[in-house]
Amino acid sequence: MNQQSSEGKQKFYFDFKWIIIFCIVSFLLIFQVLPLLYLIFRSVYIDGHFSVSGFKSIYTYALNWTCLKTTLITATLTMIFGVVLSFPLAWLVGRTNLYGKKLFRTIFVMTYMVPPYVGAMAWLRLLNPTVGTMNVVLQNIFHLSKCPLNIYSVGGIVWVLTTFYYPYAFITISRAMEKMDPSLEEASRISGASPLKTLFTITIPLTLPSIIAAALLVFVASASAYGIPSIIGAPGQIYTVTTRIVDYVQIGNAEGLTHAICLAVFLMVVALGILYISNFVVGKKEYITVSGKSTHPSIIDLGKWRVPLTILVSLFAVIVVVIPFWTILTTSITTNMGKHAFAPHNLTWKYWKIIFSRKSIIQSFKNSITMALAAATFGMLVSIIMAWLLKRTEAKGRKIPDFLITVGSGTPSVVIALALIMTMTGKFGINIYNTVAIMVIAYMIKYMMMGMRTVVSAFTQISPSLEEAAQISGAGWVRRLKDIILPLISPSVVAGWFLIFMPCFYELTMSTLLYSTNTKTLGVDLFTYQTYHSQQTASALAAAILFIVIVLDSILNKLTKGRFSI
Amino acid sequence: MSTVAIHDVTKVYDDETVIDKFNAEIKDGEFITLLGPSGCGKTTLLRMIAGFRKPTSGTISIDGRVVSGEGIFVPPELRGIGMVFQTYAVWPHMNVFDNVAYPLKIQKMKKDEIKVKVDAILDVVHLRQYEERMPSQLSGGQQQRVALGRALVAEPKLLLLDEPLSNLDAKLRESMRYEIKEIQKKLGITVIYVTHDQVEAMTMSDRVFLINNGIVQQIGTPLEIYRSPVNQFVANFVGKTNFLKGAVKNEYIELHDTAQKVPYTGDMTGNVVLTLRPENIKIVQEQADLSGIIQTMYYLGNENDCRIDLGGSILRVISDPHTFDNLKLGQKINLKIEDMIVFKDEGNDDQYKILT
Repeated sequence: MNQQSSEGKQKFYFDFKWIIIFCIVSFLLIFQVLPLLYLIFRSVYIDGHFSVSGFKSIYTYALNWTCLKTTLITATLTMIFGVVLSFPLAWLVGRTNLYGKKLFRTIFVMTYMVPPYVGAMAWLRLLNPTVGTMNVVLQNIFHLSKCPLNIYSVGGIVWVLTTFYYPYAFITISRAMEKMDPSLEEASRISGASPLKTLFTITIPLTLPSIIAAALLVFVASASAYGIPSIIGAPGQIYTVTTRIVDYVQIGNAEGLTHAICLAVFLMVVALGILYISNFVVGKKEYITVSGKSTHPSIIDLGKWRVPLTILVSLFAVIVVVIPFWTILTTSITTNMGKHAFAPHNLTWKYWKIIFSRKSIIQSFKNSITMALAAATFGMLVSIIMAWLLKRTEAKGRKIPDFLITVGSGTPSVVIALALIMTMTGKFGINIYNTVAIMVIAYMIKYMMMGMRTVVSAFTQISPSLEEAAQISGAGWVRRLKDIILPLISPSVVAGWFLIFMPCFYELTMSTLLYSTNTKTLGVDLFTYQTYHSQQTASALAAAILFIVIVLDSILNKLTKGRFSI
Repeated sequence: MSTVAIHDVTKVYDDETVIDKFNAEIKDGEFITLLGPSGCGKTTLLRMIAGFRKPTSGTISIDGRVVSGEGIFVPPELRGIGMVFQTYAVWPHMNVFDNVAYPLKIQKMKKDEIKVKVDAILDVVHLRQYEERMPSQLSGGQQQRVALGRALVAEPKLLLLDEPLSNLDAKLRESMRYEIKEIQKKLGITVIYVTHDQVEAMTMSDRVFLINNGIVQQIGTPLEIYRSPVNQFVANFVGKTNFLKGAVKNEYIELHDTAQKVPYTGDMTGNVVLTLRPENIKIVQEQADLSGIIQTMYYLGNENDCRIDLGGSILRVISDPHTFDNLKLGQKINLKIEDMIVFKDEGNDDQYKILT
């Protein structure tokens, strides 16, 4: 072997690798860090000088203060209900002999993977104060003079937010319970404690860090939500911070923009602050319960409560998952919204025909697919390289890209879109406003984390010695990547791709702020039809989107042999 | 086949010195073992020789060529070394043949040539009939041999083994020890072997480097290390020992904890540590060096492992299995010392405590 040339070749690979990494880090700096920093800057630099008047107006200006209060109330209530629902469900599905556990687990995670605004639409139909189908049923059952529930209220928003964001808590708490060393509970049982006592004295205290993390996650998700509060809140003039921000931006004047920026920065700081606390402080305590061996937890026998609890859980599943989905389907084939749903003369396929034939909808569909595809593919490329950097090198600053990607996913969508609007419309030399590029970039910043997580997890599970063995056998960097790393991480890469693709496909919030006539997406279309034109068309579209998402998720499940799915 | 020269190699992590000025000259075809407790730095040293870590200072040369030193660093893939990892690192997505053939594929060897060499090595490690199998279909010992075959197939100058047997059960460990040694003798390859198991070190090595806390305690053949340990750590780590503290007085060592004394003709003075190996103490009828009462006896089939109360200290004595029948607990017996080692008592017991 010619030492000179081999070492020269080695240098070439070395440099090439770092060029790619430099490009990716620059991308993150330009399109994520710069916009967010500029947003913060603009929130304190108003009309040519530094001032806190912008932030003051958050609580002095009536419009801002009300929306802030509303957001705090809805987010807090959703957090509480979400956790109060999730913990027993996670416990029942994970640690007892409830009937149909596997089915329930799938059902409860379903609302996590569909567009939240679909839920808003469904519940509007069900709990409309005058003609809502569920309302009418309840009115008849309980012989009431008028419909008992009104969806157009803070309570309505909280209800729908809860049904769509509790899965975050459910998944987090489930995972923690599965990872917990079962012998900790077994020791309690042997010492004489009943299953219930064990639950309260051992299980809950030990899973408390995860419960807190789950609660914070739900809080941030609800506070950052746009689709649900906007669809439900608008008719009743109920505003949250996110809907107010979008309003201000769409109005377009300078003063409104300042309000929007200040609200956005406030929301961002709150969201990122909470996520930081959740990850850093709470995360450390989780180590106590994670056992090294992968043993299965002991199953608790529910005894005489087995059937009643199963019925209760089924009822919950039906109300929260089955009924809304069913409603979407039926609305899409209903002619007259005021009349009874299944009367024969009230059924029609015309709305389905519309969504498959109307040019604008088909164009939106094409746009959504293209942009989601771009975001997922580029996002995965970035994720693979950044995950390799994080897990397989000792390079200084290797945690920075990972940190930035994590921050991106925790930043509320509204804030990302606003920041991009402020900076990418020519101010700093780059003008990508009204292009596909700005939307794909926004999607990537928000959802790349999904890809990062799966690939990082893959690298963690694959022993570095597999790569070292290849290295000792003579393989250089590219060879190792091709022969060893890529084949072994490919299931995670596929999973990550889908996990980025799906939310980008039906995305609403960022699309609403960033779209132009040529780049309209399905989410925007759906929102428009629901709010302005025809609920039935919107429902048909929603049903179609749901169907696509469910199909994609089953493909993902099959491809990765069930190891990854939402 | 080659020599390895390690000159003043030091490795520092943050404030901790993990390896302190390590020096070694390894001859062509030697089987060297780096022996020591967990955390002593032996694996770090091995990985520096392999090229997965850079020394903080010092030089490493293989076959006369500097691979790690001032301004020079040759990466692992260019060092021409074979290595067997503790976790085997057999690639799960390739079958046995492809795993072993990989180094040759990198060298862009022709397909038929590869087949010949891989088949030959698979014969050596007795895996020829499994060449189509996937690693998940192999046992631990078989995966181990795949790793060994892969490390040897490119006829490397040097073979590194990082605790390769620690994940195998006792019987398998014994047979693999023998196989590895036979292969090494047959191929005449230079081997650096890392382990914390002194039995492996004793049975396989030409020379042993005993390391504690990053510092080499002794370099020697197994015999030298066992019979002439240079300090209490070495004496305690390899083989079993009794340490009895005492003071030299008038051609005797008077033991501190008991009222007994042992004849001594050496040069040391003052406080000393009398070091006795259990198998070098014989139970005899007549008056001898020490006496005591039998406290416990463990019958192991091939030996009788006893604890003798000297009146203040407990002495471990390993004697002939038949003594188990002849002796009773509580019986007073005499002990004759066949061989002893005496160290100066530095006052710090930590010297021989095995720190992990």
